[in-house]
Amino acid sequence: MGPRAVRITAEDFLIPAEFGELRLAEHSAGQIGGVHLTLVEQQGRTCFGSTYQQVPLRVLPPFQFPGELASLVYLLNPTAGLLDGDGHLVEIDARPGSCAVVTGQSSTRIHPAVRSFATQQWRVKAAADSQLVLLPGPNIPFRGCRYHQKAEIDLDRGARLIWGDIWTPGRYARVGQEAEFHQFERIVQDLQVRRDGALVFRDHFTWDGPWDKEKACWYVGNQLAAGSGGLFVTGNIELPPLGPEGPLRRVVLPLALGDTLIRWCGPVPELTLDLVRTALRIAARWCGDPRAVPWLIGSNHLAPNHWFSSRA
Amino acid sequence: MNLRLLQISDSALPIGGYTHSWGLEAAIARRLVGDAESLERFIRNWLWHVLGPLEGVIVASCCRAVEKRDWETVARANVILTASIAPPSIRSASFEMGEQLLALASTWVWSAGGVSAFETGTAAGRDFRHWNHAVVFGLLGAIAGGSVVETLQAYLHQAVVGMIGAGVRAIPVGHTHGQQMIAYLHEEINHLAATFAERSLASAGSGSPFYEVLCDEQTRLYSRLFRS
Repeated sequence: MGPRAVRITAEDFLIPAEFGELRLAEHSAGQIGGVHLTLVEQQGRTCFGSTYQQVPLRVLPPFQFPGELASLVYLLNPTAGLLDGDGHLVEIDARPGSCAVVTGQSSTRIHPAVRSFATQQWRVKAAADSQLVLLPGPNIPFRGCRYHQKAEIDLDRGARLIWGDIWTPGRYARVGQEAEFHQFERIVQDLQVRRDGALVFRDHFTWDGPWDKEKACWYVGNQLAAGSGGLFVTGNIELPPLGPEGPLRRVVLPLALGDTLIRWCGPVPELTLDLVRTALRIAARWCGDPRAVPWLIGSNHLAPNHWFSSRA
Repeated sequence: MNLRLLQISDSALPIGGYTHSWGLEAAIARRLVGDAESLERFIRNWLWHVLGPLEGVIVASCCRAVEKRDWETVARANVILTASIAPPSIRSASFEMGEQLLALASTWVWSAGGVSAFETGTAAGRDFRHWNHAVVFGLLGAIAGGSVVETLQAYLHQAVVGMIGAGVRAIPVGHTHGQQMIAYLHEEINHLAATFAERSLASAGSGSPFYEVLCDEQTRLYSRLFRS
């Protein structure tokens, strides 16, 4: 993955068979865009090498807080979210020694589809000895939306990476009749992780909505506003079980080739909090100290008003 | 009638399928399943949202690939399935059943030649431990001369019989009720086979987070009838 020399266009996005003949926005200004980042280590800090950004996505210069190993890389979307026909492409090339948390500024609102669909696609390359936590943020699929989320992650042996997904039931917090639970039209997810070219994890699904109570119960459990989450983590992870009395379900699933999937089902606020804390705790332990302070949320540098920054 | 397809989908086949409950036992423990009606509902959801879109598509893709002697696609389907099944209990059951079915089929008069060609055609073919049950079923379906749809029907039918068998033992549901349920599900199986036989290998995948939770909970139940 080299520096991007040309504009991101609709041709850069893969359209899944599940969306047939649908096409992204023809007039791309403000709808088709993205970010290309090269993360490099310089004197113990993670900085940008080559960078390319194209509206509607923006990236802030990396934040490096005192005492923090990881840089915080903040992706911004100044629009209202993903609208019909929008395509966001995020390309990240993490070079040896780089260490970062890459995240969005808020939940991703996926607006209703009219003629097309919306997509966010990630292409990530992580070199040996890089440490990367990717938390795109909770997805909020609005009533009638069509959405494709794709992530292709290529790891060199020795790269450490966490990828986190959160799927909310929609605009569940609206009052009374306005509340939406699983009212999307179609969601297609395609997450593939490869190490040295070999497929180590794949999470591909097509969710056809809207879901009635029975379907929602099958997919995410029998709570009204339940969502789901997942963390792919390189290497073998052990976590203490959550208490059975709480509303949240969390399971640790060792994968076939030595990596781990942690899966959550339950209320979105609790799920989001536990998923983020788990991700940043695991990342902190990459240094070898099981008591290491979690990245970012273990210090006072971030106000607790980011979607991911509730203190540990 | 294709007797070879009947043989590979026989519930008495000694490949260990009857020792697994595919998450059903945890659903019973959670009181999500407790009688014939709720068992049937659980099976329909499992077929449409887990087995059909993942293993079903793999069976169909492998059957189609074997007809063309496309061993590369068979191997790719196996890699995709291994990377897609997250619960270790389901993955190890898939490997064990695949290994044992392949070992059995390598000795049968109608399938030994086809299995031998598979061993030669795929780099890892000689090591039976690495092959998932759905991949082996698709392979044998093609060797048996079954069409893609027939092979998928046979696969789904044996899965339904296995799950109902688990329900008969664990809930319990009477054998008569179990057989009625199988009869109710015949049309569903045909519909599923027609739907998933046409899908591409790239589309294989399910995505049922709560089912994964159930499969993991199964391994930690205080008492169990089935393996985990």
